[in-house]
Amino acid sequence: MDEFLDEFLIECSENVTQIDGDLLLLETGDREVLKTIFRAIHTLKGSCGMFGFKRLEYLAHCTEDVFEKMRDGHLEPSPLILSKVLQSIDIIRNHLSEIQKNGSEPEGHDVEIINDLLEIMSQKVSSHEATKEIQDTAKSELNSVIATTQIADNSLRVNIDVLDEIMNAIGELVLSRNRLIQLNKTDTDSIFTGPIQHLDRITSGLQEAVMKTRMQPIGNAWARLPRILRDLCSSTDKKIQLVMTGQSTELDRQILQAIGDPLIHCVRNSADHGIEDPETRVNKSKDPQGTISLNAFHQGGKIIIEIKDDGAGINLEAVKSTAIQRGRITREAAEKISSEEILNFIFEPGFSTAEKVTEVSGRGVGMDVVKTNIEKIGGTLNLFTRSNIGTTLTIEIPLTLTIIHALIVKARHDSSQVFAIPQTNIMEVVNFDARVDSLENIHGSYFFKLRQNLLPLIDLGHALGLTHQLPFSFIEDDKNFSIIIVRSGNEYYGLCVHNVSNIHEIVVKPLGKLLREMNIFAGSTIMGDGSVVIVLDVPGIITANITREESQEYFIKDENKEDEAEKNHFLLFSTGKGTTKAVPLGLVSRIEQIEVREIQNINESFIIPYHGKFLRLIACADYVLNRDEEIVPVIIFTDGVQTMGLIVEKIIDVIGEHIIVEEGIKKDGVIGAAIIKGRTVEVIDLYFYLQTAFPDWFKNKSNEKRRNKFKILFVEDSIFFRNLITPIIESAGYKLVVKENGSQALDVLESEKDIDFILSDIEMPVMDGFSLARKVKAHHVWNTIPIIALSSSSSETNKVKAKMAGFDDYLTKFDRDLLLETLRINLEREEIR
Amino acid sequence: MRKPGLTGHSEAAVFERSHPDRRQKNDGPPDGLERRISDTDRRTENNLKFLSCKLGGHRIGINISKVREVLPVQGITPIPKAHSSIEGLLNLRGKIITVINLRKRLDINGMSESKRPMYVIVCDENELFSFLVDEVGEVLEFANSRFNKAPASLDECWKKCCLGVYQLTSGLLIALDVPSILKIDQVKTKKGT
Repeated sequence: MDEFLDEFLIECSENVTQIDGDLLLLETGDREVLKTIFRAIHTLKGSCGMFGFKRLEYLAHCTEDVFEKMRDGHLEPSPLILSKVLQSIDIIRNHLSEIQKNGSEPEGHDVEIINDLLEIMSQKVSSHEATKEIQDTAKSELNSVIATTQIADNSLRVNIDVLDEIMNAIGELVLSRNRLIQLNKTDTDSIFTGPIQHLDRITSGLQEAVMKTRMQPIGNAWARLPRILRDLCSSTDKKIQLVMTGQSTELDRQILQAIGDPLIHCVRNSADHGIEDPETRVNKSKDPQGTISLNAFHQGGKIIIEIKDDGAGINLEAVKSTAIQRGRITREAAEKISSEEILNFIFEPGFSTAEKVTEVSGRGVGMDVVKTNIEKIGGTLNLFTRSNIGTTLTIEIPLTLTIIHALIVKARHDSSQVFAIPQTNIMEVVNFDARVDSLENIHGSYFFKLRQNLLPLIDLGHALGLTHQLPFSFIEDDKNFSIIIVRSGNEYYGLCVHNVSNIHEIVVKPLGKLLREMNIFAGSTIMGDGSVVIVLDVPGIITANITREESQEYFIKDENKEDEAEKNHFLLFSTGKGTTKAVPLGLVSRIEQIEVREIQNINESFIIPYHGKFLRLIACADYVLNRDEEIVPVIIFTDGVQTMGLIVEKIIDVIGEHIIVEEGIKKDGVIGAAIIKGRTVEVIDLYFYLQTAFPDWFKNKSNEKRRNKFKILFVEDSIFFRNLITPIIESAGYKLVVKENGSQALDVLESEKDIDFILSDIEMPVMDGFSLARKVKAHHVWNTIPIIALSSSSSETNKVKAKMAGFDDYLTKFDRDLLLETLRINLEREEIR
Repeated sequence: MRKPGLTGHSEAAVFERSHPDRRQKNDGPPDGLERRISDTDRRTENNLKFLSCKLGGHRIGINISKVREVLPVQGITPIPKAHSSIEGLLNLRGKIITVINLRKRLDINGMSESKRPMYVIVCDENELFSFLVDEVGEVLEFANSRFNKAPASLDECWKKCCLGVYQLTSGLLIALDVPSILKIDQVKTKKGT
C-alpha cells in the first residue's frame, strides 16, 4: 500500500504542477490548453477516489466541472474564475502534502471554495436545468463528505521498516530475557528473581503488542478476488458468487503477502476449472450459479483458510491417466493408489504446466507453485474433492513467521552442532526403541513402520553432509536416536536425529544472501547462550534427499496401504472390571479430559458446562464414576445438533484392524464383539447411549420435515453394520427399509414404489452390490433412483468397478458426516426435480 | 573506483588524466617524486583509504568505506553443505552474519599460523559480512595516482576479486573488490562444487 501511495502522490503533484503551468498559459488566451488541463484534473480526481480521499476527490470533482464548462465553451475563463480555480488547485496541493506527511487527508471541509466554484458554474449557465441538478447533487454530496470526514481517525500510519526494527529489537529482548531466566534458574532465592519475573511479564506483553501491530486482516488479501472473479465470469459466461467469511481474521503482514498470490491462483482455478458453465450445472440439477466460498479462522495457533467450490470436482481418472502418460507411475501401481495420492500429482512441478494437461486434469496450473509458496511459510495444503459435489482446498498456515516454536536436535550423536526444526513441520516424535520398533532396509534405503504406514527415513547427519559414512551407518553402534515424523504434502517422512531437547521459542532471522539459495535451511536463530543455530527447512531437505525413484517405490509397496484401507479404525477404551470396549473411530467427534469436580448430578444423569452450554454425560456400561479421581476421559459424540459425552475409565488406543464381528450378542448397549489383536472386545452400541441421554434424539425437530418424505433402501448383509448405519440414517429423519442382499432389495423395489434412494453394500451373498446396481440402472423406472455404494473397502479397484456397475457414488463406511451429506445432497436434488 | 586506462608508469601523467579540472584551477603540478601524500591530495575525494590485512604472506587492502569494525575470532556456527569458503555464522550483537574465509575464497593453501586471526566486518548493499583474515594491520591512505591495474598475469580468481595494487615501500598492497569477493555462487558453478 505504501508504495502505491507514494506513486499516487508523485503522480498527483505532477498533475498539479502541470495544471498550474497550463492555467497560466490559459490566461494568455491559449484555449487549446484547456483539454490538457481537463485531462490532468480528471486523472487526479480518479486516483483520489481510488485511495478513498473523499475530501480531495470532491474538490477535484468540482474543479473538473468548471474546467469542463470552459472546455465546452459554456464558460468564459475570466480572470476572476481563473483565480478561483488556481485557489482550489492550491488547496489540492496543500491536501496532497498533508497526505504525504500523515498518510491521510486533513480533517474538515472546503465548503468556501466549493461554494465559490458552484457559484461560478451557476452564474453563466443557470438557464440549463441540468446544471441545477448537478449542483443539487453536488451539494448533498458535500454534506455527506462533511459528515464522514468528521469521524475521528485513531489509527496511525507507520513505516514498515520501523516496525521491523522494533520487531528485531523485541526478538533480542526475548532472547536476553530467556538467558536471564536460565541464569537465575539455579538460584531461586536470588534478589533478581522478582525483577526478572517482572521483566518476563513485560517482555511477553510487549512482544504480543508488537506482533499485533504487524497483523492485518486477511480480507486485505481477498480484496482483489471479487474483481478477478467478475472478469473471469464475464469472459467465460459462468455465474459465480463469492461468499467470504472470516475476513477479519488477522495474520502477520509477511504471511499475508506470501499467501496473496497463491490464494488468487486457487480461487481462479476453482472458478475456471471447478465450477461448470450454467448449462451443465442445470443439467446436473445444480443451481446455475456456482458458489465459491472462502473461509478463514483460527484453530490451535494456526490460521485455516478454506477455499470451497460446488463445482464438478477433480477428475481423478484423468489425473491418473496423465500421471501414467508422464511416466510418473506405472499402470499397475496406478490401479492401487488411493485418491489422495492421485490428488498429490496435481501438486507436482511440471505436471500442470503444459496446457494440454490442464484441459485433461481439470485443475492444476501451477499448483506446485502454490504448494511451494505455502510450504515455504510453514503451511500445509489439503485437497478434498468429490465428483459433482465440489472441491475443498484447506490451507493451514502459522500465525507468524518470525517467532516460532522449534525442536532443537543434533544431527549426529558425535557432533556438537545443534539444529532447529520448526514445530509446524513436525507431526510427532518417536524415540526409537530397538525392542519394539524396527527399521526396514531395502537396498540402503531405510523405512520405519509406524502404525501400518511405511515411512521413508532420512539420516539427517548424512543429509547435511556431517559424515562421510554411508547413511544410517550410525545404527550399527548407536540405537539411541529419535525419528521426527514430518509431513510434506500428504506424504510423511521420518528424520533420524539425536539428542532431542525441549521445544524452544526462537526468533527466525533470514540467512544472508550468500546462503539464501540453500533450500535446506529456513533461517537462523540466536539461542539463549548467544550461539547461532541453523533452522532447517524440512520440505527442502525432503526434496533434496528423496528421489523420485524412491517415492515411486513407496507407491509400489502400497499393498500394505491397501490392507490398511480394508481395516476399520476403532477407539479402544476400558470401563473398569477389565473389559475392553471399542467404538468405531468415525463416530467419535473428540476426546476430552474432564475435571470430576465440574460434573454435576442432575436427575440421575451427569451434566457439565461445556462451551457455554450444558453437556450431558453418561457413564459407559458398568463404569462407576469415582469422585476421588481428578479427571476422567470423556468420549464426545455429536450429530451436529446434540452432543453427549460418554465417561470411560481409560482411553487405551486407536487401532486399525480387520474386524471379525461376532453377531447376535443380545445385550443392551452392545452391538457385537470383535477380535482385536487376538482379544475379544465389545463394540458398543452408541445409539443405545444416545437414546438414554436424549430420549427424543431421533425426533430431532430440524429433521421432522424430512421424516416420511424420503424412503431409503439400505442393503447390507452384516448385522454389525446394519446396527451401526441404521440409527445414523434414522436419526437424520429418513424412512428406512433394510434388506440383506441384492435379490431381496430387488423384491422391495418391485413391491414398494416410493424408494427414493438406494444405499448398498458391495460384497453380499446371493446377489452382490455390483449386480444390484447393474439391474437397477438397466430398469426403465428404477434407473432414476440414486444408488450409492457403501463399503468397508476403500480400494481403488472396487471404486472403479462400482462406477462401472452404475453406482452414482462410493462411500466408505464409518464416515457418518459424509454419508449424511451425500444423502442430503442427492435427496434434495430429487426434491428439486 | 577503478580509473580505466591508468598504467601507473608516470604518476604525473596519471594525475593529469584523472583530474583534468585540476589544471584549470591552477593548483600547480603535483609533486610526482614525493611518496608522501601532498596536502592537495588529501583534500580530494579520490584518495582511498584501505585497511591492510595479512593473508597467507600477502598484504591485502579492504576499502575502509566498506569496513564497519574489526574483532577477534570467536565461536561461530558452521553451515553444512555450504560453499567451502563460507566459514559459518557469527552472532554480532544480535545480528547473524555470514563469515567468509578469505584464504579459501582466494585459493590460498594451508592453514593460518597467525596467533591473532581477525574478523573484518564489511558492509555491502546494506548487508553485513565478515571476512576471516590472518592479521589486521594499519589503515593506509593512497593517492589515486598510486593505483596500478592488476597485473595481467594474475591468477583468474584473484583477477576477479582484486581492484588493483598499490606499491608499498616493500611489497604490494592488493586492493580487494568487496562485491566480487561476495559473488561466491559464481565460483561455485565454475568449480562445480
